[in-house]
Amino acid sequence: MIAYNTTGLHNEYVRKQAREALAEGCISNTEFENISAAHGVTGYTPNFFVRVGLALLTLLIATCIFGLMALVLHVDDGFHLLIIAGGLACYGAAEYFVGAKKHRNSGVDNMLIRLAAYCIWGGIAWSTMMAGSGSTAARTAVVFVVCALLAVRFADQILATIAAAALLFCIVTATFSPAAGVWTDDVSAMILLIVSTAMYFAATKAAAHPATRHYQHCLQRVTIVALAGIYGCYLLPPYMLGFYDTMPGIPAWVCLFTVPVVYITIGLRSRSVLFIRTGIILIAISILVFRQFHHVVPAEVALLGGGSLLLIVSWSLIRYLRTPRHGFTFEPEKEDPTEPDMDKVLTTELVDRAGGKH
Amino acid sequence: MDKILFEQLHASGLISDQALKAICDKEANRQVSVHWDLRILLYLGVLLVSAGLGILLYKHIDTIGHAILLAIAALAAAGCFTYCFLRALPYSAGRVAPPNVWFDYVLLLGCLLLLTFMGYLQFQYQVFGSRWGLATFMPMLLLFALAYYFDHRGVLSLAITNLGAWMGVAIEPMQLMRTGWSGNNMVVNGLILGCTLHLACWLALRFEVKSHFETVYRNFGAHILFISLLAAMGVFHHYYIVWFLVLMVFSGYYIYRSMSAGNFYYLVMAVLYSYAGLSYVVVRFLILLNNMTAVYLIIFYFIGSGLALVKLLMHFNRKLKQNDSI
Repeated sequence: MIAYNTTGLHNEYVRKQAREALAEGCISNTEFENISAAHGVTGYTPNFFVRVGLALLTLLIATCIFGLMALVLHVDDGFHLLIIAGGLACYGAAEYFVGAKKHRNSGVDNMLIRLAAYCIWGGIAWSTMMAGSGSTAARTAVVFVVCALLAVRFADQILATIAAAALLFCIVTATFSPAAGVWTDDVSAMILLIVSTAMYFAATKAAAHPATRHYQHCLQRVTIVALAGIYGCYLLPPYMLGFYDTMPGIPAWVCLFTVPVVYITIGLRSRSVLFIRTGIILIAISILVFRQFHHVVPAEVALLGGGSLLLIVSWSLIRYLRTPRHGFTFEPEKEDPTEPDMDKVLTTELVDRAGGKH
Repeated sequence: MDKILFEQLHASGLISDQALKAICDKEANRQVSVHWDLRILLYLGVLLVSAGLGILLYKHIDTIGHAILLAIAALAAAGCFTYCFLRALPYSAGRVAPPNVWFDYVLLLGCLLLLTFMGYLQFQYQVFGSRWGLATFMPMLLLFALAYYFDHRGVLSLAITNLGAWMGVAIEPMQLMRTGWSGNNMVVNGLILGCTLHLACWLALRFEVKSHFETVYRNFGAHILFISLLAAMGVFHHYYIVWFLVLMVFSGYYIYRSMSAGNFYYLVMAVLYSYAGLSYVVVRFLILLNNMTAVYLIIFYFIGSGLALVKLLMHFNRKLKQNDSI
């Protein structure tokens, strides 16, 4: 099912775990070297910055080849077909680089996979629009199918996220009827809530299965989309369809302010950073939505108040968690000792600009 | 850590009994780290307070009074700096660790408030008269002094940004798209700024005064110099070949340096900037043909050169990363 060599992926996983164990001081250097020797790297995964360079160059080459094809073939009416053909060619190239050249997250394969997805769904959407057929729901369903298939084949987390979001969007567009300005369509909200919940349970159950080891990051993204879907079951339908100015109803407000709190509570109880982070981001979104409809205080007061609150909360928590409590700690995670320093050049700069210094 | 996996590794004889026990104990007592989450919240708090205060000053100029608003900003900044001076460890030419987690953020807030105060003071009372350059020069000096005294690379970045503003190196993307480069002066200033930052980088290393600031100077300096050289090729188009050669020499230096130091970041940066310069020259030559052949040749050039560059980057990566399998 997965295009990458599973032995290579397994070896990479083992080495990552061993690096973590070494950083934690659980295994010795000799043991780490033994594990590394027994689990050799079989794929081509260059340094992060080289990966970015390769991805940009792949995009340049693919665009130029596409432009050349358009010029040579003198395409006028069938441009959408050329886009689909380009997408299929990108898919073929990705299979070649992954299968024959053993690329794995090299930047080349990542860019080709994403270009394939965008071109195939873009071309199909264009075709249906030109033919005057196909609803928004049908086009979104195409996005879901294309992205889901490619995400399964290449374990790509961005495509997995798009596929999950497209599924929810497809359901919203298929069920929501913007009748006379009423934007809290209960049926649509309930369907979205049920699908999102089902998606959440399916993703968490799948993540616990050993067979999905190489899809963990994809399933995590799907879980986040599902959590966002549950939170926004009343809010998302009108927003997705462009009804930004209609006042949300009471159920929507209840969802907006209770669901993030529930997420944070679950996160604290189960020690899940994913739930806590999602909850915090959703609280910020809820406040922004609330401010869109109710101008309780001026922007500057809100900024000062919010900023002061953040400072007080984070300051108090830092003091409180200096000694680990309830399974949480302020201590940073141990750094990977095998990572070379030069890999951290840019990261260090970004952190510095964010106020830190190391 | 995956306990089942380590049990398998133990069964294969790759890790000892003690190692497995240590891993099991670690997993049983695992603490979830919220270090970066709280630091991000702290940083967001600083940003929101600073932005809120800025808007407050702007909106209430007529109602509260300039003097009071300035006093609030000055007092808040003074409070931040007093805290920093009281808590900071003694100055050293080497690296100095912050005394606590929020020290960095208080200093950053103080610097942002200082900028608000100085800007407002000049805008409202013209304390520096019509010499607007002085209004950016003074805070810049203060920021450099604070960055060195408190050993803060974030404040150093603010100071360098101010230095760029003082020298007149400012690019507005919208204006750039509408009218292109605003003039020759900005390119020249950019070249001077880039060279100055490289000189500062060299001095920091040579005299070992905050030598860890090298990365900040080099990062800003390299990008500014590369962009200015590329801009110079367009602005001084009669002598573009000269600027192209300078760009190639500079790129060559960075590629050589990156290969010796094993630095991927500067390597990729130098390769991509020099490719942009080379493409400019090639496209200029091909456009002279003035027919459809030129379009085809340009496309072929980009495909061919792109493939060659992919090979080159993979070659560099292989040379730098000895443990690569391909």
